[in-house]
Amino acid sequence: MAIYLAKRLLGACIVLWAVITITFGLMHAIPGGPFTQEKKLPPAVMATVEARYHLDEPLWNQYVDYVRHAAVLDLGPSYKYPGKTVNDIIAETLPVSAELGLISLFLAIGAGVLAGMAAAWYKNTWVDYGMMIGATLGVSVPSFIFAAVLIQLFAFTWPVLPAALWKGPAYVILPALALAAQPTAFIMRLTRSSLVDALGQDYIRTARSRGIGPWSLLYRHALRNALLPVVSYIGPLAAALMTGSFIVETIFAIPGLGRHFVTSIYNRDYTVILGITIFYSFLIMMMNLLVDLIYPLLDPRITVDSRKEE
Amino acid sequence: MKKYILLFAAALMAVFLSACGIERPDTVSYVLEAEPSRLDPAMTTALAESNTELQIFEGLTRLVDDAPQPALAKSWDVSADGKTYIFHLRDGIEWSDGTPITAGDIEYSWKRVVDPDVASENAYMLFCIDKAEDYFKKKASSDEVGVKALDDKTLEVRLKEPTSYFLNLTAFHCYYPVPRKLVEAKPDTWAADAEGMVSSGPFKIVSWNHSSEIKLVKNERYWEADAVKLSHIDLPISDSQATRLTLVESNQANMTVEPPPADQERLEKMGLYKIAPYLGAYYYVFNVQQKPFDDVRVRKAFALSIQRQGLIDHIIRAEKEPAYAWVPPGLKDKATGRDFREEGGNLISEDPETARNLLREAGYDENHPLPPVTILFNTNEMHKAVAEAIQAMWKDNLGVSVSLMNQESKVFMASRAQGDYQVARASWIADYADPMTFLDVFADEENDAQYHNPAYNELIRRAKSTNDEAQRMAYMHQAEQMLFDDCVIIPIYYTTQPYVAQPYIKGYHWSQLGLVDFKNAYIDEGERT
Repeated sequence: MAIYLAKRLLGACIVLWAVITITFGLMHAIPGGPFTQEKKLPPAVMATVEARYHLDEPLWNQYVDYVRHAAVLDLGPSYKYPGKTVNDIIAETLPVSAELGLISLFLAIGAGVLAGMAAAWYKNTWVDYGMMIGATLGVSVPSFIFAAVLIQLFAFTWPVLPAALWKGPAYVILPALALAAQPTAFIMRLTRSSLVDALGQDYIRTARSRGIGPWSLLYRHALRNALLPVVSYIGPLAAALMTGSFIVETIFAIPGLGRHFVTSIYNRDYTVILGITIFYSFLIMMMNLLVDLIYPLLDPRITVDSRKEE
Repeated sequence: MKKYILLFAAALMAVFLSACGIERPDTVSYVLEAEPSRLDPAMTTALAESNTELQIFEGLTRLVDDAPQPALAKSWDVSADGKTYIFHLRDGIEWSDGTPITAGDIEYSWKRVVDPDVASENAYMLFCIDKAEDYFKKKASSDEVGVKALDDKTLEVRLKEPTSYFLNLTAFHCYYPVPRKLVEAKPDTWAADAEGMVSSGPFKIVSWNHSSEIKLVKNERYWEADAVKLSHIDLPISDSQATRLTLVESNQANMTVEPPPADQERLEKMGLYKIAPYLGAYYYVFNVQQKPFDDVRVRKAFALSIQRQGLIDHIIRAEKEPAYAWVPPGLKDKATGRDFREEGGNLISEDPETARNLLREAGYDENHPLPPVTILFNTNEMHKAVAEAIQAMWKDNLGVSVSLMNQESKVFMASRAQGDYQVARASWIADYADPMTFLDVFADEENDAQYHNPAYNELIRRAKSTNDEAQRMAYMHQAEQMLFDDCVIIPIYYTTQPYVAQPYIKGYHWSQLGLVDFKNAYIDEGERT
């Protein structure tokens, strides 16, 4: 187990290095820099400003310098927000995105799994069809439209919730719903299809013939197996939800990490682009590791270092 | 059971309802269009920043109805040659922490802006001060820079050239004094958070929830605190036009800037839509080095073939004014008291007939078609619509087919700066209230038009060095005329600043430079209820 973890972590470091290198190359390949603006700076001013941030040095030096600092978790200062380091920005915005993301995640898992169970149990009835229509809508309607509809309904037509900003519990509800819609629909469909498979298995038929009630049958016998694909989807989903969504955070004016993914590129805020890309990659790898560690708990036939046995 | 559910629902409703609306309806809640990068007036360049800084800092002068009025300085003497200013500071002026604001603070702050190690993007705004540019370029020491505190209350400023708009500049944000002790203790971070921030303006910052909201309260130590009526200002932040408007319409805020153009009509009917003057122009710029626009006749032909009013009525809206010259209206000629634009008149017309002749004269007709021409603009719905309309006008009036190309903003700006285009969209906003802020754009050795005309540069140089206001204006009019003789740009419209405000907010002032001053703002309680 310890060897397995060490191997995974070493692999993660190599992947991160590759991510840094590729991102660094790509972002410097796009024309324009952090100080390019509609109102062009006089050349002397531009040169002095760029020199101050070492942007006048050869790219190779900048790269080596960046990797050296990143290796000790120093992600450097932001060009756009010079009073802040990238570490500061992540530390300030991640809790907001994570709070919203976790709430959406639980909402999506809870609602998605329950609805999937109902659809599988009542397969080919109006319950199933209703759920599937809902899921298709949930998957296909983009979050900004869903968000706009929610705002119209709950902030204007029936004004009970704030339309935007981030000041307390009531401000979480609409963005959490908007963020959860798509994964809920996806989880519902995954749950339904794998439950339908599981319910057709021999051991379920045996259990059914022993007179086990429907709830116990579904919950204790079938669901456990059926959840495997859902769990593997939840890993990357958790990473994505916790780091925030550009669209939802922009519409609801939420001070999260999500919008930095996009705005940092517009701003050519090199250190922020790199910093949050590294952070996101790291998070995804950790979530996937976590998922791999959870598998054996759901299905004892799977072990963490199964590859060794093959 | 049912009773409990009802009770629970009622409690939930109470929580929700209490969370809605403006926390303090007795104040201005103005939605900023972006998170300020920081609030260091020496360093920042965007409007969201300078707008916030205007509320919490004070310069030697402050613009009142667009004219510089005494602020930290109570008076000043100007030498006969217009090159030396002596400012006399007010008695009893203090930072919000109670330490006095001295002439030494101002000397320190100005030198900091042109300190090459500080590397401020605003440095060029102080290049009119003697030796400031040399210091920035490391050709002079800081002691040589022409700003000196003679004592705590007296500041001497020596200018490189008589700069008749210098008192406008001293109201500009990078001329605000900054709190020296704090800046020296935390050079990069002193203005990045509310904590420990010290201010000199009508308000001071009490909290800053990044990318979410800034809260200001009245600064009781402000020299004219008696004139400040609001006790609070809230500045929620959203970079989405739609969200900003939603916040105002759902009563979570009561004022914001730049509503989505599509909502103009609806907002007008509701009485929320307002327009403030804004010194700026939207134009198309030719690359005068690139074929076919290296021929002035071709440039003129294209420039004469645009109908502006239709473009404004149907696409641009927001009560923009069609532009037939470069310098926008709203700038006074101090010698005559008249508007610079009025005196200069229109410098370009709409004349497709002449345009077609010019194109033929240049040697282009059915048998000798123009080389391919592409309009370059940055990706944006409005710019695209304008470009499509202009494409159609050139087709109808000149019979030429041009193609369109859009690029992401910074890619676009880089292309334009490198001269990697034929004709491109551009806009310019005044740095200060003088025609020079427009005219010297094309005297820059690296201007986007790649326009290098020694005669033009000479006129600009003369205008900058004369102390005779009538002479100066005459040079600038000549320069502007030359710009159109050479047909470097196609002006499209003079810009305005549309904003949204509840009618009960009174007493604020939008300057021509795009800033809104809340110093004298108040809430008309009668109208609000």
